Amino acid sequence: MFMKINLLPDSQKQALKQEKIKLKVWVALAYLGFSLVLFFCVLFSLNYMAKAKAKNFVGQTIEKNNPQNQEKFKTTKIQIEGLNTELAFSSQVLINKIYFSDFLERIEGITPAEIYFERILLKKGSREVSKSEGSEEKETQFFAQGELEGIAKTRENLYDFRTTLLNQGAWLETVYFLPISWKLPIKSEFSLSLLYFLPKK
Amino acid sequence: MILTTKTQIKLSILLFLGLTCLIVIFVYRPLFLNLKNNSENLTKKAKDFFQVEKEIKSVESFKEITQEKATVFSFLDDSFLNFSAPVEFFEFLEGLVRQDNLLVDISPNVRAIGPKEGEEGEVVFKSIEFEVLSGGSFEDTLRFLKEIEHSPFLLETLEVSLDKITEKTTLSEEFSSLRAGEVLCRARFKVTAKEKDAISN
Repeated sequence: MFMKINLLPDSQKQALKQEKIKLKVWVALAYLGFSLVLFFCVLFSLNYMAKAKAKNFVGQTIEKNNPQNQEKFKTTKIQIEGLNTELAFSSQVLINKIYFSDFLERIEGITPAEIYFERILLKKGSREVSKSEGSEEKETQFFAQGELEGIAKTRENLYDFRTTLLNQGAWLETVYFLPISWKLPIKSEFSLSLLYFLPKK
Repeated sequence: MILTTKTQIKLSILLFLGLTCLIVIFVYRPLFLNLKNNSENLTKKAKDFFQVEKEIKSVESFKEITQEKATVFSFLDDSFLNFSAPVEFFEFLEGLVRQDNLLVDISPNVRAIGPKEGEEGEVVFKSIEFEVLSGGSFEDTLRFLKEIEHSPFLLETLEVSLDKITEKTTLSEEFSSLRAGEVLCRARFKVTAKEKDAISN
């Protein structure tokens, strides 16, 4: 068994206790003060680093962005833009190109020996059409407008030729023979107009 | 005046709080604002730097691409005539004439269409219209027309007229050797051109 020895008077004991509390408070305040100083040092270092890094970036940017390189950028930009424009333009021209020689080859292929052409006139034309059925959006459609004149051995040959033309499908449209073409039963002089559309290349 | 320990503690805390407030207002606040500005500045400078680096990389990669695809770009460039001196097209036609058994004449109706001048470095497309007259068999004429239409030049066929030569047809001196049954072809082409002396890719 231990006995508690109580030698000091109550007032001194109280004073001693308060001294201890004061010491603890001061130690706590010293810690806080030290933390504040440390935090200041951290902030100051960060600030300094940010400043130095920014300065470094500025230096490097100036170094890389020298007049020689700027000239290179400018030239390259102009070249790229030029090439893009040329490619877009070329593509547009090629998409809308009508090959008249293709038309002549096709028409030659379906013309029977009894039909002779005397004159063929082809002109490039265009029209605005809806992109899809019911759509208000328009697109330009290119075609060759043809006027063909010639002679058929007989009226029947000419009629058969007309049927062949009408059955050609999408590449030929508005096939029209002038009424006078049907006048003669033999050696019929005919005049035909049509529209030739792309098989696009 | 002798301060009690309790008062000393209270005063220490108050003094510490007061000092802390002063430090926060006069030291930390400006430091924080400075750090914020520097960070923003750093972000901006870093962005500028990486942008320049990106541009340099783009220029290098563009150079690599142009070297790799030199033939493609050369082909694209060659598809445009030199607006000031369209020698290539005439040479091409001369080559075809030698190759095909045809009489060919380029009509004086050569029309140069040049839009307004563009800004510095801007690619401005112009065009030259050629009217080509040829005479010979239908097969040779068709081959000639096909070779022009499938030539590497960026051209559009605007009009083609084929007339079968009869005894009654009046022919100019150049085509006087043509016989009845052969074809006289008049074709109009629009060839895209650019000022090659000013822009070199």
